[in-house]
Amino acid sequence: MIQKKLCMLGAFAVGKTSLVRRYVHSMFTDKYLTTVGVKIDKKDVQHAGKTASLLLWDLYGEDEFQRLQTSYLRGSAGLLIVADGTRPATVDKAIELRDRALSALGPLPYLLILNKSDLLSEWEVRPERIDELSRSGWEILRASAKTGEGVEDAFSTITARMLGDGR
Amino acid sequence: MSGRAHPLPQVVSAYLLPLVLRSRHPAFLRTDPNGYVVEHGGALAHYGIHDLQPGQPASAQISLLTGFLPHHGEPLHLSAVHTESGACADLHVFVDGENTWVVLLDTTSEHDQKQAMQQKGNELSLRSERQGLMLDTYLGKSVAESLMAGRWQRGGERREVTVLFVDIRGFTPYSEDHSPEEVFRTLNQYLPVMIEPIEAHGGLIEHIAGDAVMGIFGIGESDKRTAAAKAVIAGLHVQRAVRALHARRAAQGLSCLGVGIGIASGPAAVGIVGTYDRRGFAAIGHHVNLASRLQGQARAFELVIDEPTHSLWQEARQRDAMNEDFSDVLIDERQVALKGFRDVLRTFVITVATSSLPAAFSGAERF
Ligand SMILES: Nc1nc2c(ncn2[C@@H]2O[C@H](COP(=O)(O)OP(=O)(O)OP(=O)(O)O)[C@@H](O)[C@H]2O)c(=O)[nH]1
Ligand SMILES: [Mg+2]
Repeated sequence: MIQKKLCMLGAFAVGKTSLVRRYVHSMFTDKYLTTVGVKIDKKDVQHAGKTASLLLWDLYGEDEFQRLQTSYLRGSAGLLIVADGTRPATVDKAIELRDRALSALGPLPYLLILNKSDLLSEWEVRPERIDELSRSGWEILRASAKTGEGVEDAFSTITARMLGDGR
Repeated sequence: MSGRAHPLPQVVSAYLLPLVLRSRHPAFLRTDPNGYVVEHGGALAHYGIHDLQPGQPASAQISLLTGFLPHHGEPLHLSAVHTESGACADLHVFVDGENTWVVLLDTTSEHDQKQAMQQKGNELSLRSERQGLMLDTYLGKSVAESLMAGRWQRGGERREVTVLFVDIRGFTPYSEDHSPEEVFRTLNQYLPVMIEPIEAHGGLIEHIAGDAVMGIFGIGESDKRTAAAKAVIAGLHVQRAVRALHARRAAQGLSCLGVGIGIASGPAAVGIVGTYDRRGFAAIGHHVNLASRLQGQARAFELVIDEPTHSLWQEARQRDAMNEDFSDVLIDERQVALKGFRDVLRTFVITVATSSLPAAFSGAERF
């Protein structure tokens, strides 16, 4: 079976681990347990009549003490970059991580997930900012690991890109 | 005198190597230049790797190797890879002639230690991010926007504030006598108990340094009496929360460390320092130093407050009917001589009782 490696990137506490847990295990917890290093999960996905095994690399979130080492990304077929709608600085971090990842790996499909859509009233990332990102070429999806909203959609969109069709 | 370091003598490294390796569950895999398994050994099962088939691609059998084989160029080192067995491993891949070696070493205990530290660091960063957002509302968008543009905020504002310092008694000797893991676990239990009541009563955390926390009341508050009263009440809640924590720790046979609190009120220069993503606010002035010194005078379960704080708090109590329960609290006067202060200072000591009030407290004002 064909295996595809997908890396979760983003600032700390944006919900990378929670999105993977929601997608793979249909679970969510409010308790925050930061990831150190990487946790790898597997999920078989169907796409256009084929089955592929998705390897989800849930990486540690970057902060000033632990910079993302791009060697973890080697062999990736796609990136899910995650930001937290309630924390504007995480969008800046997302852009920075994309730039670093692409310069290390070359062109690669990627998506931006704006997570925590269940907290929409507390969002500090303004609609103007989101529009501006879309105009500059980002594909952006809203999701909530807590309610599950948009999660399936985000993973199947990136899977489609990675398996080589779509746009 | 430090001369050139001698290389480790052969006999010493030969002695150490098996000792170090034994605790690390080394495992290896040798592949050909195309990434096909040639040979394997060591503690692969420790990492949940079973039934490797020689002559087959390694990455088809060990999914964490997907994308890494065949390997060319510089050695690769990934730390803290969570393997299928639950053990954490450092992964090394390097080329030696026709062979590519994949080596796994167990680093679970380093991981756990790092995780505990990172957890605390991230929680504190989230807290200061939240405060940054709160400050935007308090101090107006113009300040936030000038920071957004990356400019430094130099200007400050003079405010009447109440400053609260809280610190764990005896933490330094405690941290010398206990393992780093134990020290962090303890700190992670105490810090929330010290911080949450401050935030719950409208205080802002100015900084957290090791086992000490400084909070400021009166930034978003126009009335200094209310600010002083909230600081005192927050301090009482900290002591009560510590008392509850002690009951839990004692039940687990853990040692209990008290916290001491100092509070002072007066004018201070407050302002935001730093850049947009790493900003915080700072308060500077005589009363900040005083609060810190009073904290040094406080014993476990005590709040030592200066006279202005006491008066402001009493005024607030008379003005607003606060339905705060003071049945477990005693207040007394204490004269303290502080280094650098010319006169003896009149302070008030509020003690939160740890059990039923002892007789020794008779004579003190009781609420
Ligand atoms: N309300 C809400 N909370 C969420 C959501 N997703 C994650 N969280 C919470 O946000 C916190 C961080 O989630 P994690 O999934 O651990 O974040 P992470 O990006 O893996 O963090 P690091 O491993 O530290 O980089 C946890 O307390 C989660 O419960 C969401 O969609 N909505
Ligand atoms: Mg995580």
